[in-house]
Amino acid sequence: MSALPRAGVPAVTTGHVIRDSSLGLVKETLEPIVSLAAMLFQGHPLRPARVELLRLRNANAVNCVICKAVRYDVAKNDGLTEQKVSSIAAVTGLDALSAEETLLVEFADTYLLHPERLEATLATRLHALPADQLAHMAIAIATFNALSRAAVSLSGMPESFPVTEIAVPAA
Amino acid sequence: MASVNRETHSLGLQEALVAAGPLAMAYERLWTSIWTQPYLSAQLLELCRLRVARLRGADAELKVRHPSAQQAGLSEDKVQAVIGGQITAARGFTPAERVALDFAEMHAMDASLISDELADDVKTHFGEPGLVALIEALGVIDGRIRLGQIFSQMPSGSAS
Repeated sequence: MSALPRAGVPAVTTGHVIRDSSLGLVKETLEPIVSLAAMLFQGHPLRPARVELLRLRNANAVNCVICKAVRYDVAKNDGLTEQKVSSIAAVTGLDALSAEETLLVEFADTYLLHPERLEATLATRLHALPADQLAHMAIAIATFNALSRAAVSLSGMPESFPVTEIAVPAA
Repeated sequence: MASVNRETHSLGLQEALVAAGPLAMAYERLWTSIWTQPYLSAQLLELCRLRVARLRGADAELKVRHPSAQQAGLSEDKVQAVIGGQITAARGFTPAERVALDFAEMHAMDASLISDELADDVKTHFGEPGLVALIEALGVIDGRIRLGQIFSQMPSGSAS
């Protein structure tokens, strides 16, 4: 993969991490993306620490260096710890996670690895969730996956990046 | 016993997500914006959607057509060539369509394997904003295809 970015950024900067990125070149999709990204962490029905779990599980699967390094402050404030992040990053051995967290990881892994093969027991457990929570999980993993793959596709990614806590970009 | 949902696909996914309320509406706004941005035609995106769906083995996707693409005169000959994996041999595809379809395939398989040359080819035909729009569209399309596959296997009706 190239180290050079494949697209430029808007001429005018705003201080907003999404608006100032290459995504800012397509004005018609920019505000829908900004709005959606902000809404994912609003705290209901899925708590921010749970949303962050989905985001980081995806980031590891896609191997998006920046996505893996970012921690959203709302998730940290909601109880996300680096120990938990390490557990999320593990390919196997999810023993350190709660039953709810394990369900989220299994859902994310199905989406990321084999969406055509949803295990029957997992389907039953997902079906038992409140419908709004399942829908939140679905939109979150799909959005995170699309954005992290966009970052990888646009290239210019550093080989490594320090863990960095940031606020969720405002709508 | 709850029955199993069938035939959930990217174009009808909103029904499965409606419980998310405003979040689902925001997701639909993004979906709509993908199809109406000015850099890539709905016909081209529909061919890309079908290409990704074929790679994912998402048969439900292959039976439906995006209304915007149909209204714009989507060629069913091209659709069948994409669905049948006959793009290389088929006539009628423009160089720009072939580049976009190649990019869609690479993006679906592994975005990290996209070459600079292929990205440059996309920019040659669609410009830099067109490359960004294509990458955004492919990510959203693939996401909805994956979710359609998952929701198609979920039991329908109330859990209780």
